Amino acid sequence: MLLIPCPHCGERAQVEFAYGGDATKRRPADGAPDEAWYEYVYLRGNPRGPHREWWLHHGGCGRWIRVIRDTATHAVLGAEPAIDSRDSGVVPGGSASGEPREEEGGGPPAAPVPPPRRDTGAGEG
Amino acid sequence: MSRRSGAQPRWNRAESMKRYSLFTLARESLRRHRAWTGAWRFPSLKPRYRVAIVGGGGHGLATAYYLAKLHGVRDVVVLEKGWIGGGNTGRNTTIIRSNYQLDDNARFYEHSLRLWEGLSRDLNYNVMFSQRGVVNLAHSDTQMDAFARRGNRMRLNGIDSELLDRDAVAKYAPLLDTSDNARFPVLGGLLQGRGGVARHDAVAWGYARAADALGVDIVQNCEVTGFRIDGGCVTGVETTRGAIEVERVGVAVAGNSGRVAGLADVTLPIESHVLQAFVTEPVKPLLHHVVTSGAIHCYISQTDKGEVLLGGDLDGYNSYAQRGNLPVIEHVSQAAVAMYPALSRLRVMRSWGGVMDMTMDGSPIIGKTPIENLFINGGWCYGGFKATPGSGWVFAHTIAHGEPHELNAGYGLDRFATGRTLDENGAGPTPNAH
Repeated sequence: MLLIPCPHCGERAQVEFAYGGDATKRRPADGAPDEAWYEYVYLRGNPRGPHREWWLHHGGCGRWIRVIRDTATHAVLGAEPAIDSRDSGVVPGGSASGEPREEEGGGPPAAPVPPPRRDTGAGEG
Repeated sequence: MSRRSGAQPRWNRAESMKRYSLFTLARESLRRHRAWTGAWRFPSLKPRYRVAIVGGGGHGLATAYYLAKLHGVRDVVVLEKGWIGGGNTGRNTTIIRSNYQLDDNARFYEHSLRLWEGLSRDLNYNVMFSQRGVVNLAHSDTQMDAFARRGNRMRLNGIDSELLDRDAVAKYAPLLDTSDNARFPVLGGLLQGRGGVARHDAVAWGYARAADALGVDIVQNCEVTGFRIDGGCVTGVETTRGAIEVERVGVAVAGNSGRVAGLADVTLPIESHVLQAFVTEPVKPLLHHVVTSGAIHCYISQTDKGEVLLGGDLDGYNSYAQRGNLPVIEHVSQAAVAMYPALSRLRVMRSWGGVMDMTMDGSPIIGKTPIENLFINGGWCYGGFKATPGSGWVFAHTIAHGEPHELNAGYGLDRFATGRTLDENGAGPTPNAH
């Protein structure tokens, strides 16, 4: 069981959270070229090691938070509120930009990401 | 085997040992099995090869085998950082099926299933392929409609499928709780009778042995640490056992696709996630088929050893750890007991995890990369095992010809930028939802 230190609620079990993916991606400006959208929508740094990622504390405060977690060991290295901290400079892998961006830069995913579910029976090992 | 001049033996024992048969088994059993030799060699790395395959799992070994057998490319090395078949080849739930809707997927996986049907004979190695049938359960009217549609689309592509109503499911899987009081009421199911399971280790070993016999070098404990790229074209591979010159490179490293592609500065539309599976203590035969429910995330079969093998959904977060956490195991156990109350008193014996290279549309990537002569085979999500023969078959073609085969033309890395994604589940670019 992962224990995630929610900056608003304290340390809570992972079952209270839903995963929101890579938090280093930055939404391109309107009218950005197709390559920028391809990079934003599809490409992922996918590091083996510290990974900055979104989690939604749906079973607690209901807020999005950013967690730094090591993908090789599952060790949770830290967490921070989603708001007002996008330029804290902690960027895993060094690949994505941690520089100050326009105001749309560091927001959480536009829509809450539900826990993964598949009910078409299409996928299994 | 070269024959010396002079006295020629009527049969050469070492040669005859190379082919497994009932006759050699019987003969050697009378000799206390002392003459068996290793199924493949342990060669050292040569300085130069025509083709290097990175990754000695089922896909990489199958690729090497088909390169040597079908395309005459025998100067091939398979580079494996650990031991062959020690990654996802040895960690999956061994389910084999081809029940896909999209034409590209249906044709590819059906080709793979047909290769499975002749694989033991082709490799002269028993991969214990058992076409015991795979049934997906439907728990709602909507799902029954979706399964009817899926089954019809499969039939249009020449794939067997059968829509079962609740009574037929109850007859097919007698211990399954199909009563009105079931936690997840069963309305029916979609059966692929030609689906089944195989012995996963034997798939790696069989391909390794057959590839080795055709001259392929399999070098284990040899991790790739970099690529030599000259003018946008790969010319060599650096490994922990030294550098080699190559003409072409095929990467088949599953969950580590992103890392290995990163060595060539190629970023992939892939996230690595952990998927767990676990087995109970072994019991006498009670499950004769593979029974799955996508709606409640549970896949159940019984191994030849008698263990009940259970799998479910991803843990849901990026991971390279090859292990997961207990909430998913608890969830899958609850689902399994809801489906099969008879399992409730079995104890879980062990659990493990594998690293899934989840693509942005849930379909694999097999084809060219922006680096010339560097080819990639990955993004198998949780469905890689069943694809092993087909994957190796089309990847060998792709490497040998420099262009994809018709069967993997739709699996190009460029499909994301061009919008031609193959999203079987319609889940969008959300890797952990496929």
